[in-house]
Amino acid sequence: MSVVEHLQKKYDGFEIEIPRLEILDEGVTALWGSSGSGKTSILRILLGLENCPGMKWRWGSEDLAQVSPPNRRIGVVFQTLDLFPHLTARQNILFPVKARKIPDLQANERFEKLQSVLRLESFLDRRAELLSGGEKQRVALARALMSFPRILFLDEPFSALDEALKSEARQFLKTLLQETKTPALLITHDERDLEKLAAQVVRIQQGRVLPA
Amino acid sequence: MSTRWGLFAFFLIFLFFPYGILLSKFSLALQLDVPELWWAFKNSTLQALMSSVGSFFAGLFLLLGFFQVQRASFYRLWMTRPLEVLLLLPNFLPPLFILLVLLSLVQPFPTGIPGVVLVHIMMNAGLVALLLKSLIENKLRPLVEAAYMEGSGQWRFFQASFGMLRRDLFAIFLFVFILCFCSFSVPLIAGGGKATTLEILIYEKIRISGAWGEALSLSFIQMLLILLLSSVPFQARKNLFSSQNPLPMLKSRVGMVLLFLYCFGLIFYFLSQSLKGWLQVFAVQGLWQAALELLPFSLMFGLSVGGLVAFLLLLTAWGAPDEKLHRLISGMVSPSTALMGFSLLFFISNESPWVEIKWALGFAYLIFSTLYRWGWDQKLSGLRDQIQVANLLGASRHLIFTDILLPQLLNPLAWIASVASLWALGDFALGKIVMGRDASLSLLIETLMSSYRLPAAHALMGLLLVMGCLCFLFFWGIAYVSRRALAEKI
Repeated sequence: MSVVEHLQKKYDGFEIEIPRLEILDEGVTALWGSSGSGKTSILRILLGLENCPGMKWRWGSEDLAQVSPPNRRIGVVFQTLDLFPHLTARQNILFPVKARKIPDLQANERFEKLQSVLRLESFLDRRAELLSGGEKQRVALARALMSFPRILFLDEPFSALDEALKSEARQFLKTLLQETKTPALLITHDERDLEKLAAQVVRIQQGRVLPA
Repeated sequence: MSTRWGLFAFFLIFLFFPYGILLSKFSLALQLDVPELWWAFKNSTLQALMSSVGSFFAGLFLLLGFFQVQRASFYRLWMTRPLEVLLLLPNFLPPLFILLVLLSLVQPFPTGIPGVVLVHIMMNAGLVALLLKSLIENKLRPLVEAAYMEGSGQWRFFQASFGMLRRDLFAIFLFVFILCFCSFSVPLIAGGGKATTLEILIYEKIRISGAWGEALSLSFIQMLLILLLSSVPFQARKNLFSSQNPLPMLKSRVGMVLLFLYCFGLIFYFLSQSLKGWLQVFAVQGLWQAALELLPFSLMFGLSVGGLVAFLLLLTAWGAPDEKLHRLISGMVSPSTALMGFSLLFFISNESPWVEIKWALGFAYLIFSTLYRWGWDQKLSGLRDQIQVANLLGASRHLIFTDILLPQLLNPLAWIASVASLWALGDFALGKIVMGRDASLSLLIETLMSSYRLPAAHALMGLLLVMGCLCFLFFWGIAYVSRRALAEKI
């Protein structure tokens, strides 16, 4: 388990005040709350995209709060997915291999695993901008996991999908996290995500953690 | 020093170097002739105000005409883009083109503020029409359709939706106002000495009175005014092109006539004058020879400016996203042409073989921030999320630039570099100060205009536009080859 301490930040008319947050190092920790409760801000702070002086994030012997965002090795799937539209699905997925200079053998093995779990074959050579919503989502997941992240952050990853695709995507995600043995922090306001995926639920309201 | 700070320092030095050069030689004049300053300020404001109001109403009618055309039976969806490009043409073509056509079309030409306003309206009305179109299609489409179903008329609808669009309309108005407020070449020719604006006053202070200190102070005042105006937190949307279905209800037959006159009238008039003008070109002894001799340099000059602007824009992309750099470049809205020109006289002597490079550098400097704000800034901010994700995936700045940014920026870059080349080909204002002789085709055209040989000027302007097309092909060719090379590399 990793522990975040002193996660505090003031915004205009809003404040996040979380003295302690525990994130599982196996399975899915879900941050659950209504819109505007501060979930995405917490995620951005943990990613290092927003400053939070005084925060500590103990991960083994490391304090991740002192590490630069790329070196925290966190995989992330934002709500907007943010695929690179000019690249094919394959190029998107393999981008982290180039970025992190992952050895070929290791990369190929990972790619094969992601490809088989997420059933990517049929659209691997299609440009990202031409993919459907569900396909884009699977590519974003594969890309985030390709770099062997220590943890995967998911910001409302199913929000753009219809009901049928959502349940399929949840199943994909569950299998994928088990297969790759990657812990995840899931931001959601959908109770069904909690039922299907979460091993631990942290309820957020107005920037504060509600008692369990 | 980090890359970001390095880039920021580079642009800071680049954007302020004309001021630095002049400040190292002259000190600011603290005592200014207040009535003269007030008069120039009044003229600048008045002409910019009338130009922007005029452009706004002309743009609205052009837009309603556009919607009317979209409803015509002959209209096909593919015609949208060419029509949009035709609307933008007066804004993309060098001011010299519009000046030349209007000076020969409107006889007698109303020099002074009315003349300046007329030229500005012709230059900006099409741009305003497209900005308004983008605004209406993005913000009002559902409302227009609902109002149409409820049986509302278009003017009643505009009245009702004005409150909702207030900020956006003000942003468009301000965008045009600043363009006109800083204009130098238009009041220089169309003002005829009767509409001395701040920019012209700076020019006259140096050229006629040799009062460098006063010119510097005036320039700082102008810069502060523009900075103040541009700090208003409204930004006009600049995604000008769209191929959506026509909107119901909005239309105007008068607007359609205006639209055809605006898009085709100027071009037909120019072409007819240009054809007649060739007789004059060959009749005047030595003129054709002189034009031919100037062609290679003009072309090189256009390409150099396009290349320089492209290089500077790529530098901004390398540092993106960088809010500080964005603010610095956006804040330098439109530097004084006159001041830039005269500072260049001190920068490199006119006897130097580098004099042509000096002109290219100066002109690239003048148009850089305008072109940056002409959609490049929005393109970069649109890529912000992709940069963030690539960064979190561990990509280096170099990888982000070559694999993510460059492939998506090549098209807009080629487009902007082509426009920069075209503007450079048509420059006469800075060239007149820096070169002091007819060193390019545009300067020769300006000399012909001054000596009332307007048909010959039209003919040579045609030649200049052909060179603009060559520059366009050059930059699109480079973009195409680079895109292919990058695709293979990725």
